[in-house]
Amino acid sequence: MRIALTGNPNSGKTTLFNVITGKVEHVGNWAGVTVDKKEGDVKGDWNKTGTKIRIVDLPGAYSMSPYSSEESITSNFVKNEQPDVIINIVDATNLSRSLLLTTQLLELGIPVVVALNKIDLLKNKGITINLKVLSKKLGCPVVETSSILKKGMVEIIDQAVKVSGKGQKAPFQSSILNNDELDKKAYEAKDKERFRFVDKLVKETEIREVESKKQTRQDAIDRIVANKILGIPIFAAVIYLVFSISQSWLGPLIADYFVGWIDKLYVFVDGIMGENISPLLSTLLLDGIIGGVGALIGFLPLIMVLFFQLALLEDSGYMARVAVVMDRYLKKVGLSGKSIIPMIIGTGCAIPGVMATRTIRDERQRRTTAMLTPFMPCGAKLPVIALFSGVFFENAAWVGTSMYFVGIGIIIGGALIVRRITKESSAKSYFIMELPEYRLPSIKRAYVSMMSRAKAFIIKAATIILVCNAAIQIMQTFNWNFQLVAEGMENTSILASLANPFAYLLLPLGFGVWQLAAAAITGFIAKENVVGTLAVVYGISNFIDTEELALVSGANDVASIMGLSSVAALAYLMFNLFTPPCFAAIGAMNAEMESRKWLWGGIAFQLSMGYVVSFIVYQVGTLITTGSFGNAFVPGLIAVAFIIGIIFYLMQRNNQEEYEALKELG
Amino acid sequence: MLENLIVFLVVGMIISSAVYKIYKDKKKGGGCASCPYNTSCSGGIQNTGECDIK
Repeated sequence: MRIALTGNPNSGKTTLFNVITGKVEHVGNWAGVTVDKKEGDVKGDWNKTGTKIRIVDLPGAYSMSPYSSEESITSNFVKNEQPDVIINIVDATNLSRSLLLTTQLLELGIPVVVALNKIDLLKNKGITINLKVLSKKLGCPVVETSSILKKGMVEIIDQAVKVSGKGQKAPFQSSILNNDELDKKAYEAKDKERFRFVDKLVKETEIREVESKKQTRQDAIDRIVANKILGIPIFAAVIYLVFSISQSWLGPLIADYFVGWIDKLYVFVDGIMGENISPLLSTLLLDGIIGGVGALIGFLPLIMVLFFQLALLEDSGYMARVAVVMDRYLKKVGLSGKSIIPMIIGTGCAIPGVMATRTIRDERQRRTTAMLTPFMPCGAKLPVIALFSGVFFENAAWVGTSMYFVGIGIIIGGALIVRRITKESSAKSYFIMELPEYRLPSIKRAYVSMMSRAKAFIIKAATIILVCNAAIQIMQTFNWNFQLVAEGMENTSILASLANPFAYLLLPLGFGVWQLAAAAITGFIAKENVVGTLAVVYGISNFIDTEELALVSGANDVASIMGLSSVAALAYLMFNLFTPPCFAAIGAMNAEMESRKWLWGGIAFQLSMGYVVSFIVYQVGTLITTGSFGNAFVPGLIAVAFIIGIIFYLMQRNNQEEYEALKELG
Repeated sequence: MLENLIVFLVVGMIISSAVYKIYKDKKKGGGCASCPYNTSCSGGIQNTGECDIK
């Protein structure tokens, strides 16, 4: 038996799906988190019927009209795949909006069970709903549920099994849903009738007190948090606080103990192996595997603290306000207001972020957003930020915070450039997003989110990063004649000879050595690789001090081993953050852009942006700190001028074509 | 000699387990081998049999 879960965005579908299937799909206290269907089996705890039930969680939809991509996924699924039953999740606190979709679902003839969700919030809001009347008027069972409190789960599954195989009568019949010939205007006309029907239904079933004090307080908070002047400084302060806690206070405290265990493991394995082991095997196991992976795993506590806080922020409803604050800036540079959602999702992982661009209907805006979303520092880049902010900068928190804002700046600048290059006019977009209510964030949900990300981090470190580190160690140990490289002669190794040509290109950016070039290249496989590779090539197994409770002590030692100035380190960090993302994210860009020209253009743009930003940071920073420009200034300037020249040429070419076309028209 | 063989086997086992896990995840059809959400994140889409990541 197959059940489809449908409902408005942010009505709690995915939370309910997670409860009844035991899965841990990403949920958020805002609309648009789910952009594709997900499937899972109902757990035995909730299914007392003995029937095997498969649940399909569909993206949120306000209606069954096929005019937005995520709604069309829902619409196509229920129309074409004919599930046995539809469970319609209705937000009990917003009945009038939710029932529009319900009436459309009832018209399909597939048995519907309404889950009146968020009933735990009704009392506080002074809302009473007459369940019996609602059920009678709709002609289907209505069950009270609370996904968060896990209430009504058994009942909803029970009712779904009972109605399976029976038909469904509709209280409102428009007979347009199965008519694909109708245009948008016809849909809208019929929907007006439907709205009137729903309004009448709500009046008969719901008693709502006038706006409560709590709502007024929420509005007052919004006026400050989403204010056009205060919104950005508040966001900056929040991110600064998040980084301070994760990288300066709590994170290092936990990391210190954690790294101590990794060090003990290193010493223990070293002790077991003794003196007679082949140096190749010994270095591969100790430096390549334990050292390389251990150096990365050392940052796990910092990352976990950071993700825990981000999950709290998301659950509180604050991130939805950030979307509203950013909307006005993105609209001005020709992006859709919806572009901010992929970018916020991209702070966790660029891949789902890029995938979320599919909700943007305008093709140019969708492709531009897919190209620019990876500029937001994702979770994989956090160890790199943590490493460099800790090793080279005493006040670690401002580095991470500023990386987010540099990313936003590049996105805005990039959107302007892409708009000028493509010269395609997009319809002015209006971003309508339902703001979720502020709520006390759940520690449990934040914990689950943090643990799931930690699990992802550990698995990645134990697989891709481990294999890469082993390969790097082998390439560093041998030369092209497959002879062991003598100590101190690593620059004759296979790795050095492969990375050296790239190192020359990076000279004007302040980090033209093969070790750093190799780490940047392996970062394209997975960004965490930058940390792992640096650990292997410099033979550092611990970037975090175990003696003092401070991040990366021996900071001076690590910095001197790398031979970088603080300015060059910042340039290197930015190069790794703002050049193209990992290959998997590039694959996602390819899928969403659906154009080779856009894909390669996007990769070239990302490479150019990373190079230009790093060049400016290094050369200007060096000029300020030492009074003269850094290494290879002139060749770098030529390269940057060439990049900027091409961008200007592409922007002007379109102007010229437009001018000539206008001239021809007279 | 025996110590070297043991270490060689341990290193080989660790690396081959990692490679096998990546291979297994890749075979499942998702885009991000080794990611535990390979099959279920918005980008994975494996469970619907419509992996979009090419």
